[in-house]
Amino acid sequence: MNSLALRGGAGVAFKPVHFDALLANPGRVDFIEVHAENYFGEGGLLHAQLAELRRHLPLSVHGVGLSLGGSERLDSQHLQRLKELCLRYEPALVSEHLAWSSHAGEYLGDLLPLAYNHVSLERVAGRVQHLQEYLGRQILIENPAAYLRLAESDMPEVEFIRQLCHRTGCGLLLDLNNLLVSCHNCGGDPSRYLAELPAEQVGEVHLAGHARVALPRGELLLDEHGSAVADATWSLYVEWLVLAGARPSLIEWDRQLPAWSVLAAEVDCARALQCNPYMPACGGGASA
Amino acid sequence: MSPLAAEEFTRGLLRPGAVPLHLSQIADAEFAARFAIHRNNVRAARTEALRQGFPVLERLLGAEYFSALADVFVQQHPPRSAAFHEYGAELAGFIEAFVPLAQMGYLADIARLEWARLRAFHAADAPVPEVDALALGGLAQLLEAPLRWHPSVTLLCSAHPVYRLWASQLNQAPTPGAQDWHGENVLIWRQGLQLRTEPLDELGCLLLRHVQRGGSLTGALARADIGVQAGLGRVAGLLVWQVFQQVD
Repeated sequence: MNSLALRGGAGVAFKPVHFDALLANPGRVDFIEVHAENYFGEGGLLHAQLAELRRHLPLSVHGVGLSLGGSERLDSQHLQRLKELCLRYEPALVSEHLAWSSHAGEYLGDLLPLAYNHVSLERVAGRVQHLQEYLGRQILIENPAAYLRLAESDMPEVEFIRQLCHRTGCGLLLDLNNLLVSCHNCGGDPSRYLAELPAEQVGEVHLAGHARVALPRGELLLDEHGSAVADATWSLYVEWLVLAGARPSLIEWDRQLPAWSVLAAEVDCARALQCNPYMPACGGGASA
Repeated sequence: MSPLAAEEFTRGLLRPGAVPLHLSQIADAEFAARFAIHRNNVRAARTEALRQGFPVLERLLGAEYFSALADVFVQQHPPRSAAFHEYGAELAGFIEAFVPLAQMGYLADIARLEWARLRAFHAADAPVPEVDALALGGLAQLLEAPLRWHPSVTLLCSAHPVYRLWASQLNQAPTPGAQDWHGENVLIWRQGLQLRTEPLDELGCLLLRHVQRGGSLTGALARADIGVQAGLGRVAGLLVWQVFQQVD
């Protein structure tokens, strides 16, 4: 099973605290995902757990720190360690973010926004191409959660992503929570975004919770991965399933971790919707 | 991101008040409030990385002081790698030179101990001699063979009771007082997958150092100039702890 390409199903962002529960019943999920950088160490418990789970489940390696959207050369040591990780675990999927996170050799630890224009498209496309050639495989690029839109931007994000796919042949990791967060914070219609995406390039979907914070001119949504998938995100997931069909879909819950059963129930929900993409209207109650 | 914009954006992230308003498409106050989300994320990620790596240091300093110390440390030693578990190598040296903490020399050694634990947790796997599986002849051979430290091993020799200080914060030992305040050696390593931190006496240190210099265990015992019983007991203990790997 784990040598087959992933075509659908649902998985979790694996956390060591859930190792025993997951190993007791690996079929509870269809795949697991880990942050690449957490496995840049050489050995020990983390690798022993991952190697054991990898015997039972397909793996997705999700990079959070390569800084593809940055303006400097890609960190060669980072690239090398990512490649070693891929050789060691033969993941079904490898992804990174449309963002930058390092500058002047300093790692900033956040996914920062880039301007969407032809100059940055050129730069990012070159780097994505380099990464794909270096790893010898297609990678998926994740749409970011945006809080800001920069003055240097002169094209919509979805157009930038379309052109990036066209130029590099990269795939997409469609993060529906990020999509909702960005549209809420910076304007845009999630449905239209979905319709304009090159659906055939989407190789994985992320589902996660978000938080709300009050700012002077209204509420902002924060991509915080610390709660259950929001109803609005499930609704958008149904819309996506109807539009494009099932993709491997990940429940991303990275902080304030719930009990394994709670996480597994979210996986069930994604699996059920893939079989029957229908979402009852929320909050309406019985009406005449 | 253009190089110039990235430079200005980064400067704004690292210096409170320096918001690059000209990069914005929206009203200044709103941009500043949103920009602050990224600034907080950057600060929180770095502080959290240190907090996770140095939990006992945080307990000894208190959460508030630890955060303030982390802010100063981060300015002088920003992370270079996206693998946050590798962040903090310079923290012990930084604390040693940090004048407000000059009276508490043990804090730097606590940082060294916790850094060693981080390194041991992620260190490479390496085959170790399986003592249980050895016949007597094999054991004799092992004692004569050149060995080296397992990649996870750190031997920390401190002028302070660093092991008991560390263990006391985990409620595993009483806090040392002035009357029993003396130096301690601590061995940090991984036994299989288990992270270990144990106090070590002078004989144990001597044996380990001899092996580190390329010597065999029998050579180390001869050098130690102690009784066979005490020496063999200690060697057996170190072998069971799996602190050595064989040299090919």
